[in-house]
Amino acid sequence: MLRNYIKIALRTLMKNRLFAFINIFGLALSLSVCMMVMIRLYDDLSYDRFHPLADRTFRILSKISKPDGDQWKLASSPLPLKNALSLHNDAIESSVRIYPAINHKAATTTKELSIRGAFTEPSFFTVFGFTLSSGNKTTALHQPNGVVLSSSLANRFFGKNDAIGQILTIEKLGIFEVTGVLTEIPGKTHLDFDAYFSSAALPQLEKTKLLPARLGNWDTFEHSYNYVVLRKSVSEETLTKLLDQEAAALNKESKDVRIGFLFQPLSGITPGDSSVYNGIGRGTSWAKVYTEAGVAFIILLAACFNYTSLTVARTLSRAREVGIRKVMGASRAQIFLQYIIESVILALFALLFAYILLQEILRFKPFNDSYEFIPAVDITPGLLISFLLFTLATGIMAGAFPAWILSAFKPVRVLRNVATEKVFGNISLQKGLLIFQFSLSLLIIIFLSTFYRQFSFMSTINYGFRNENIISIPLTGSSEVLISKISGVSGVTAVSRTSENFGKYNSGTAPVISDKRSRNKINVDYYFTDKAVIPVMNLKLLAGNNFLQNGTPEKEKEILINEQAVKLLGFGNNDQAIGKVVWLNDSVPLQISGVLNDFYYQGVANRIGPMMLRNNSDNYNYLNVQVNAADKVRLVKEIEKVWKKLYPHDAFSYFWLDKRLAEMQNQTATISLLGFLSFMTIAIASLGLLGLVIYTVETRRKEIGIRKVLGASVKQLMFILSQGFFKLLLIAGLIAIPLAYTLCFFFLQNFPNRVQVGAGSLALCFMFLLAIGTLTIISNIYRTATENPVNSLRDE
Amino acid sequence: MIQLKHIFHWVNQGGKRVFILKDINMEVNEGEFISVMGASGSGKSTLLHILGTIQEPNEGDYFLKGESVYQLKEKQRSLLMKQNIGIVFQAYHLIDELTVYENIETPLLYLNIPASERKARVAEMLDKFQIVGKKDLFPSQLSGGQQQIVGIARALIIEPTLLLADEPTGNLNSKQGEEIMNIFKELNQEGVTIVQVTHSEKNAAYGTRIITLSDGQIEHAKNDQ
Repeated sequence: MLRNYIKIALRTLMKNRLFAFINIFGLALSLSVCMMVMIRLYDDLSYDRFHPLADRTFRILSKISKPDGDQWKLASSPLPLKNALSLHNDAIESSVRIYPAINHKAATTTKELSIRGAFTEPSFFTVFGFTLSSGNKTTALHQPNGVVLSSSLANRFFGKNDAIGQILTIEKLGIFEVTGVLTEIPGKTHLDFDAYFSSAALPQLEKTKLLPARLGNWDTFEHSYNYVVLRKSVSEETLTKLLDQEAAALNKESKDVRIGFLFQPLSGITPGDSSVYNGIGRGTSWAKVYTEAGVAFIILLAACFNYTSLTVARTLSRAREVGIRKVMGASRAQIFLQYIIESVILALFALLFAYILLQEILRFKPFNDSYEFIPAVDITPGLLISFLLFTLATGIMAGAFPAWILSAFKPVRVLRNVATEKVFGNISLQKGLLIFQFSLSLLIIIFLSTFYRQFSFMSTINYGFRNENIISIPLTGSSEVLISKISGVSGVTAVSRTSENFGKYNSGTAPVISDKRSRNKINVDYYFTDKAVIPVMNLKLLAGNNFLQNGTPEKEKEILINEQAVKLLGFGNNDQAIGKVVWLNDSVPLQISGVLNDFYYQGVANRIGPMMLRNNSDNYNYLNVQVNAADKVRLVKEIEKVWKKLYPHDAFSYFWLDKRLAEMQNQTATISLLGFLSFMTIAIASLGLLGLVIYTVETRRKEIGIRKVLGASVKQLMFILSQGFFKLLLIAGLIAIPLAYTLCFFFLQNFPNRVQVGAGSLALCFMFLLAIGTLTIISNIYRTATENPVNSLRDE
Repeated sequence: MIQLKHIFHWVNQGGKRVFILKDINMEVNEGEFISVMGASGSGKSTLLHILGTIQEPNEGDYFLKGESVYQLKEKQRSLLMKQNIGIVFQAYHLIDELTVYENIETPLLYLNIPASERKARVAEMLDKFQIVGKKDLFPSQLSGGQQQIVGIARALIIEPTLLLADEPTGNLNSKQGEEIMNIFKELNQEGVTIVQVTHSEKNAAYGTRIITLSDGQIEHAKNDQ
């Protein structure tokens, strides 16, 4: 029986190649999107799956409630909590604290890298499933100066050499010895630190004030992460009770803020609950996961609609078969099953196409840039099976409705040659689906065009600072000698140093008050620069003077501010601000020595906020060298030579500032993704339209033949045939344009410099869609309208 | 074997009942070959459809082998029908996507007959009608007469107690028509009960009894022999 169904399905597909192609292609496009989303989902769900005790491991959360009703949940909890909990060793098998206090530079004798690290304990290896590729698990985190590196960090520092026993100097904290290297983990984890330091070092570091005293401080809700493993027989209620006890003790002392401790299972951390703040790492949340799945589902639905509407439209040609089969004794269920199998087979073909498409997408990564939209995962058998199951479900979903309708046919209607139109006269459903598909297409096209216009517009906006012909070199240490050497190279116009390059990120933000008594704090973005930044970056000094000298941490005295800062700090005009003293962090007095013009220091996509340039030679990270445009290539080589002479161990790295800025603004990946989506929706909608046109034309062939015999011209016939379809396109436009306008309007609100969602561009997008629709309609209708009526009128 | 009692069938046209069949009472005995005649629109086809349970009349009773068909549950009725009744159509109504062999096999599939037995029965049928050489052809590759032979073979594969034929020669030329009628005659002689609907006096003469319908009523029934 099944073989019989499959045979018929394949023969039907072969016989109706065009419809089969429309269906398979449309479904394949949307399946490919769904597969991308599934890969992302798979990636999102692959977090923390390798811990052996995961079913008994929990992370403690803090819940903080303020008297005014404000409350929030933190993924972190106080440092002393871990020790307090570990006292209850009848309930708690083991526990560990992760204290991410390290965001510093780490250096070997030859290399220096910025690392993110956390202090933790030997129990780290019992609570979690991490293992060491070299080093001893039991001792690695015992000695006070031990550090365990992630495999990627070990690789960056030491390459293939053995890392064990190597010495790392951590900026400000001292010397540590590498006691272990983690094995590359299978899958992902929310614990994505570069290095884990032994917490045995903490007491000494706190005593010497290199780290703030937090070990015994309960008011450290934001600073550490505590995990416990419950004993096998212990229930979660016991943990709740223990945590409530701890919270009650704290609440006795606290007056207004109420503390609570909650917990979450280790496997529930990523994807997590988006209401939990202060998590580790960049794991996704369920809300995002659901949204993505929803978008994919809508796209899939559009393709399924096509199948449904095309098949329903073609029920006429299948109705006879159904009638015969029923007379032969087929039950409704059997007919239903037959058509479901047919659509499942079609879906499987689509899967084949989609899989090929997916392979290309994974290979060329057109949608990835700085953000990894499609994570690099291996296609595992599990993933393949879920693709397959998903496709089966899709086939069933798409086929169910047509199968239901077909299997309901009464054979007598079909077998008695009832006028074909009457068997299935009502195609309002398909019309509705088409309107939906075209509205969706139009919405995406309009959004894409707005997005594209916005970003090309922004690329034409001047940043307000010079970025051409500037070589930016990441600094590793003191730069005085390097500066003087590079300045000596002929062709170098000027050299300046900065903590961060303008154009995307600031160095930091600090609260500033203009008056010690004032309560009006303004958050001001800052950069540390030297005085040469004004000529190199071509900044305009509107009032006052440049820095007098290059300051040091002890002697930081002067700042330059921008016009925004002048305004927000409440100085009447630029000149009045000069010489005034402002207070930074309530403690550091700084004198305003000059006022700069406003420029887009965080890129043209962001509003210009209040900004200051600070003067502190300890914080420079980049050396910016302005060079002669004519000599660019030679000069890079010259500068490299200078560098090599000074730092023979370090690789010379540099970038052209203008190119880097262009890269940071680059939206190619997003545009290609949107482009793909719009191509797909248009393709699906057009294919759907094509199907409906062919169907309608087919059922009206006789009418057209009669009209032609009666003297209708080709033009009149085309008008009669196409009228209905243009109406559909117009309705789609009426639905989509206001929606798209609203969407684009709110999207553009994110940009201080924005294009308008003009009527012109809306009309253009609509014309585009109309053109595609017209092409689809006309090409088919023309053939019928010019056909010799003899063919259509000859019957039986 | 078959009894129709007080069959009424009508459609509503502009609020008025237009009768297609009006108080039909008839009996079909085993081994009979009945020809139903009448002008266009006299209700012949409807009568045949009612006999084949493709259609249900608005009123009346239908007894098949002593069972009241309309009292049966849907499932039982469907089983009774697919075991006992074979239908041959004027337009053959073969499934275009299936070969001759598969077309003939289809009714057996719906009776859940095992593959080996299906094979034997289809082979027997192909043999009987001398179409073994055509078993892998599709309907579109056959002439009208050949298609109708396949249609008959398909109707007979279930070994029906009643064969219904709706103008089986209507789409054929006279030579092909004669061939088909001869087949019916032979089948009848082998013991198959047949009810055919026809326009042609000549074809009607093949039967053992003629029922003439006029405006939905049986005009008179006469024994030909």
